[in-house]
Amino acid sequence: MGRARQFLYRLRGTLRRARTERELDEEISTHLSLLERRLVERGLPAEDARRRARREFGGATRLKESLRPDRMLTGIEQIVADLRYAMFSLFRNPGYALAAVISIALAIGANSAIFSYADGLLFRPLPVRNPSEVVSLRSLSPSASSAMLVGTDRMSWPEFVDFRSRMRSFEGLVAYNDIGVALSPASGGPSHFVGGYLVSGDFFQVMGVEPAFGRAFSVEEDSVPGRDPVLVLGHGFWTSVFGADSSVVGRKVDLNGLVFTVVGVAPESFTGAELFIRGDFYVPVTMGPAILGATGNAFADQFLANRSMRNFRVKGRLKQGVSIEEASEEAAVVAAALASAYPDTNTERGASVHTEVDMRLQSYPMLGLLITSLFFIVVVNLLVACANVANLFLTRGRTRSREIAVRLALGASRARLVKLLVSEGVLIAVAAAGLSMLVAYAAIGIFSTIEIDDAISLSFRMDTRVVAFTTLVSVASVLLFALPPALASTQPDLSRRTRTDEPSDSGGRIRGRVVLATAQIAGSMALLALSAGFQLVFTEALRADPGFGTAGRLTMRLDPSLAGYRPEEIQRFYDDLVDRVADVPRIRSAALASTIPLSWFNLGVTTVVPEGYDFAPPTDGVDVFIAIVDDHYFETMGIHIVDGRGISPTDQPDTPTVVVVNEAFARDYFPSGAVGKHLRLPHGGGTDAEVVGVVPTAKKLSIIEPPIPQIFVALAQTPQTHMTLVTEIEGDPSAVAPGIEEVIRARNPEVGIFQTRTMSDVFESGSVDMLRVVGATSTAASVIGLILALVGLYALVSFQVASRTREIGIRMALGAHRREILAMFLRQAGLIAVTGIAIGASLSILAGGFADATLRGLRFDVRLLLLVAAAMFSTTVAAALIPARRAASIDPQAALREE
Amino acid sequence: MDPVKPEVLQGTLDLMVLKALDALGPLHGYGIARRIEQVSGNVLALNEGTVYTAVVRLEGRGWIASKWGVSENNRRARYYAITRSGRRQLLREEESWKRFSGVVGRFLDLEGEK
Repeated sequence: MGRARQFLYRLRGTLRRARTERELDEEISTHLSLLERRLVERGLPAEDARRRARREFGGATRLKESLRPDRMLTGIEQIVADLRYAMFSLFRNPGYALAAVISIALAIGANSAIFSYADGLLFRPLPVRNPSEVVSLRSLSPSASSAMLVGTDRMSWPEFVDFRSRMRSFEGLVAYNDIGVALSPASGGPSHFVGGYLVSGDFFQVMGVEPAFGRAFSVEEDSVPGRDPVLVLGHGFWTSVFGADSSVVGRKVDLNGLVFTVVGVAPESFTGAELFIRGDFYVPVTMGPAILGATGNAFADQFLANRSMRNFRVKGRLKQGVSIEEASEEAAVVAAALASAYPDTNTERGASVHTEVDMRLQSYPMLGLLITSLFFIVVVNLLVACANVANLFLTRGRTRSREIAVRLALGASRARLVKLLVSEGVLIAVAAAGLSMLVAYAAIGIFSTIEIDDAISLSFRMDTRVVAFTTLVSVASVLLFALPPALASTQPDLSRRTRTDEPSDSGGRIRGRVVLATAQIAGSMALLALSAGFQLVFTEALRADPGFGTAGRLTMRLDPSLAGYRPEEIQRFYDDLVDRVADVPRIRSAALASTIPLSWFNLGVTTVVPEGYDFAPPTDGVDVFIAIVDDHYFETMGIHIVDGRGISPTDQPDTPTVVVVNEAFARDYFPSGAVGKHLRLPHGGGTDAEVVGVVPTAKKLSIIEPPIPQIFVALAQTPQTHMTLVTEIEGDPSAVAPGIEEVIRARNPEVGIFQTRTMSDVFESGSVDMLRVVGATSTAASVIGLILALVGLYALVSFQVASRTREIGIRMALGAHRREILAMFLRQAGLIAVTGIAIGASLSILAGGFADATLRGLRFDVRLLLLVAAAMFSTTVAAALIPARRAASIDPQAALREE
Repeated sequence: MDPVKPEVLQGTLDLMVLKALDALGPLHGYGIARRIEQVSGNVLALNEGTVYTAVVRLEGRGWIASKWGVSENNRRARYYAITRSGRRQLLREEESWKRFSGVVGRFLDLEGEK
């Protein structure tokens, strides 16, 4: 109680310090005056009385000093005083302070943004309960496949059921499949083409996701195919289409023509089982066959029964205490058991368990490279910024060595002095942290403008982790670099300190700083070279022929199943449609395709066996991308035939099955010529198809991908429900869109038309946007790195000039020309620059070598390297020139006089 | 008389200030110093300034409170008065002092008896 009271008393005293001092003064002077009066009364003359009184009183100043700790909180007072002083001295030397703050802010701000980027793309955990317990179960396909293929690690429903019943490592195992349907509120609203998930019964329970409203469905409701049409709405979808109406539970919706009952709404935080695929709705897996059947999908009834129809991704929650390795081992064992029990479908198929991050990297291998290279940039930038800050504080220490020595001589304690010097660091840390927050915010804003495919949801946030990261790193790096110089410069070696001009710093220290500057230059050179290389590849890729026409083409997704057509009717609809659409003015040609390039929609993968290839039992064929196209496709897309022919109208259900392959496929499997060869397609238990033509390899998913094999089959021979209409148009494609829609609706107003986009939009959003941002980011980061390195060099040369002022003065006095002085400094700087650039260039070549594997074509263009090197050299020399010229223009007399 | 130890002096000084204020009512620094001088008969050779050290300590503990007033020679001066808790402390101190001196006294008497 006493302590608290005392503290408050002191606090009051500290806050009203000035007044407290004044009051004490007054008290003392009153006391003195009374003493004086007494003495005068006793007969002393006034002057003597005053002096006597003073003496009797005792040292007033000392009294005040001694009272201060009792009246005020000296600890805090000290800190405040230090900070004020630090602010003052920083303002007097804004150059250095600014350099430090900007260095840190840029580096850390950008890095925080990159951290958030990596988080949004890769690291963000699934929005479920205890996400670290949730892992993925992959089915391992033994067949030969390209690294870029996705979706080959899924399970079939019977397989999943087996795993679910046999695996002991999991608390719960769930399967899901993403599916696109046409959904409308049954009260007759418009149809929306949405993406959602088919999920196994206990999905929500295992994931630990509590619905925001209503309930999730149960295992019971997922037991009999077609019996329980229940549905859980995704939160975002519920907000946008159902107006966030909480009475939605119990309402009916129309899904592909079937009636479902809404039983619940997912919480806002849950966007789906996959990070990138947003779920607008969730229905039980057992409703899958009904949904697919409603759109005439030929495989509907096989959906749950066929052991080799691998549609489902599987995730599970590990039991307490079970590790991923253990689960993985068990999975392999179960897979082996299945392989021997079902040799037809499961031979040599393995299984393994992976973490979420692992899965994401597998699914999007580009991501791994992207994140790695970004982190490389992060680290380099951070190091460079830290080096600058270190430099700054070293210089400051050096500049103030005299002041420090004097303070030490006057009796300041070393601790006190270090606190004083570090307080400058604290101010800079705070300013830097604030500024870097702004930079991060801006950068994240830029990232958020990336728009990829509709179905994919990306979100980059300035979340608390980013903020914490930013602040922590700013503060840590500044203090880390403020402390050692502060400690070093306050070493109580007074004799050395008070001598003003340390004749050329102890060799070791200067060498250290030269190494620092060289390293900075090397780092930024490496970064610049790499980004320039990337930009080169990217620009080339952009300009290169993607293998199809992008301008003047319009695409539209169609869903005739919504009009209630039966499968046979759908084919007639499509045939008819293409003819009608082709008649619309300004349309040069129209075609249909199941999937278009650079789009993830309806991405088809199939396993084929090329003629003459025997696949040893583990492998059951070659996994390739497949597109089902009509006979106008190649013409409309501007794809020329390299060999043989394209799909023709004569390819009908009753004629031999034909297939067209791309050059990559031909080169890989039929190097001597593909036309006339055969391959076996999987449908209908194995169909033999003849290769009738070869087309150039076009970009499938990304403009910087390596060539990927692809095959095309005829629409007439492989009926499909969901097709994309592609039209080649004279003039502005979007202007013709309404005309086309009219034609379609005239034929049948209930046909679903979705996602009308021009091909150039598809091209842009397909991969260009993302790459553009990556390119811009790396360039920006490299430029930042360059600025930092230049600042570092400038600081170094300035420091040298400053500490050698006397020497310069002497030289000039002895007859050296200004030019010689200039050359002297430039030579030094030049050496540092050249060494740094050389090292940086070699680093970048090394790094480029690593990147080459995935990022085809990041080979080193020597001309580019030389260009970048030249640019760096000139900028670094320019940076060094400024202080060097200052040196050259020193007045020798002033220099000699100067201390 | 031998110089008294500083810590003992501190505590004793505080006690004396409290007693002075208790007995004479509110006093300013000079007044307290005079009172102590008077009672101790100039035996305690203290600088006047030390009164303020004691006063600040006491005020910090809440045993005295201060108020601004006007002194005899028409200047502004702070007057200190004992508070209720100060009075309690004074009693406590008096008790323990009496006990202490009682014990010491008995010891000394013992010695005398020999």
